Amino acid sequence: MIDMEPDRFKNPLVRWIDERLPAFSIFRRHYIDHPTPRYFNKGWNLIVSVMLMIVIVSGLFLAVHYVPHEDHAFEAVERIRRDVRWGWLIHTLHANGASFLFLAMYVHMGRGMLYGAFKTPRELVWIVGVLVLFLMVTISFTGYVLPFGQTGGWAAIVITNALTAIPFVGEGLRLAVLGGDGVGTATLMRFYVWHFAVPFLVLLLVFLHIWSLRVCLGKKDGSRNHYEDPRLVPFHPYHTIKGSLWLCGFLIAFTIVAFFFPDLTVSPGNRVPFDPLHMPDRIAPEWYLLPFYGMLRAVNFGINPYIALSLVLFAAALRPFYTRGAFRAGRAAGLAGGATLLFAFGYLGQTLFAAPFGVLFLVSAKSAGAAAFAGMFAVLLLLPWLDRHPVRNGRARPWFGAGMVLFAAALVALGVSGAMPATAPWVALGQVGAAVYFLWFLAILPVLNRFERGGRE
Amino acid sequence: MALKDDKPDDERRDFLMLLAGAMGLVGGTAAMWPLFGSLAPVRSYDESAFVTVDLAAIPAGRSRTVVWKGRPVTVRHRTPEEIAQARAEDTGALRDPQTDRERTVRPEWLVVVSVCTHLGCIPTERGEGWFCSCHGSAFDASGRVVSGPAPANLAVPPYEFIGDTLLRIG
Repeated sequence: MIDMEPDRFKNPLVRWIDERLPAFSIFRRHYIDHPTPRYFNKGWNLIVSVMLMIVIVSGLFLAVHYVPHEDHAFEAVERIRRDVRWGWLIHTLHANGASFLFLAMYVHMGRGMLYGAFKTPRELVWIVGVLVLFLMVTISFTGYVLPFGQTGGWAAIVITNALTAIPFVGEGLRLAVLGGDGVGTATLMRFYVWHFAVPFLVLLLVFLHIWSLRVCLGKKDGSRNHYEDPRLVPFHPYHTIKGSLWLCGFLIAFTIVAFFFPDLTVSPGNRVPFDPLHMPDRIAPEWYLLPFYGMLRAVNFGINPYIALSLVLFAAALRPFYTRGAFRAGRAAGLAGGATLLFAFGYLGQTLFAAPFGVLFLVSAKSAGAAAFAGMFAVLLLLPWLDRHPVRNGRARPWFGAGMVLFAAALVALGVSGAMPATAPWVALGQVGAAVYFLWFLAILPVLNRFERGGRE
Repeated sequence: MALKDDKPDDERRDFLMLLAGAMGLVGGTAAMWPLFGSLAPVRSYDESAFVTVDLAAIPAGRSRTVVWKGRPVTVRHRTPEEIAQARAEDTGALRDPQTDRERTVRPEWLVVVSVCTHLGCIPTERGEGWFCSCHGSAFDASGRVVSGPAPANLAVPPYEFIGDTLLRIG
């Protein structure tokens, strides 16, 4: 283990500063000499950091030219793309940078799930990361509205209406977010401030994310204390060079899209000025938010007493896996089967007949959709307590690996359903995706905790 | 100054700390109030907003959409068949029960805010009613929800007739 005494720098100015403010020592310890196991990471952490810096820096320069006003916002963005010197470059790096930042975050999180990076003692590393994801979703959504095109403006209307599903404070919250009855200058000002300010909160959370990771690497996790591994290598040059290779590959892909296909992920509807009286045929977010939008659409049914009872039966069937109580297969299968039938009855009832099923709601369809959206983040936050399997590495768990493929397929299904019109086959696809998403976290992972064997480790 | 008497002093200090902390919390919370309050919409200039619609220009079976407080309001001149159909559905099981008479002042004129009560999309007129393409809610000839995820009927704005040919919304 590398010793933690204050460093002696050769350069006298650096040494003079470091003795009073040990910034150089801290940087050297954590980004140069930091001892790391040779097996970890493919550099996605570095890629996420660099993409975050690219969108923050390009955003600062775009902010100079942007005008948050209903009469000028659309023009201002077009002016950046056409008239501002280098504006096209900064704009394409910012808009496509957001896409690639989300791509990198999703891969980073997927690897975290697969390799069990959220397990004791690193729960907080994961939780802070999920909070960052949530903030990034709000940042990209507000950014999508700023050019004041048709798609973004109508997305703001639909999403802020979903806020009214929150009991008691919902309507007040909607007015506070919009700043009026409809989307206008007040909305753009609010979204601009959020879009500008919250990324700095994200930077703070990223700092906490790395800090917690550094602390946890020194603790025993499972069988291993990372700092006691005899095969440690310093962070620089080993991981920095390896990460840079991956970073270069990623940046090549990013620049190819940013330069040659700058509008690849941009909805054409967002290049048409917002009109509060004419709704576009298609309202959809950018690709990286489609699974969340798909969830909002998939839950288009209210919770009537039949569905409520079926959820209770599902919970009863899964109870032994949470309480570690005795499991009786026949009882669980009976409960789950009954729950499924009851759910189908309650769902088909309210879809096919207005009355009496469609009238008697404990929770309206609107609130149920919003709750499912919030639930997507809630289960991610709870992941460290849902997947408690002692084997950390998911690649040593074949059933878990198959489940991860199913989980990824559910995200794709939700995304496709969010992108397509809200008609029969696509809504059903989204509903299957939604069911698999929640089953993976709330049913499959707890069941695997009990039944999947220890694997190779 | 006697050290042996420190126990009562400790309790007194604990109490003072608790009191000071509680006051700080109350004060801090109170300071949040104007901050969150400032986010409310600025109303002064649109409170008295109203629009006037010339009814003579709308033949039976047609409708006209005007903007009122930033939202589209549809004024529909209903045919006798549409009125009969809307009244026939009064007795059906509705999610948000309202009779057609409660929703209209003069039966031939239906005035509704054409914003879906689900997530705020604009339903399009289809047949004698409305259909929202966002999430598939359908509304009848009286603007009442008949299917889909919308929790309530299309809202009826405040309006009054001025003579036979003018309608004032707001």
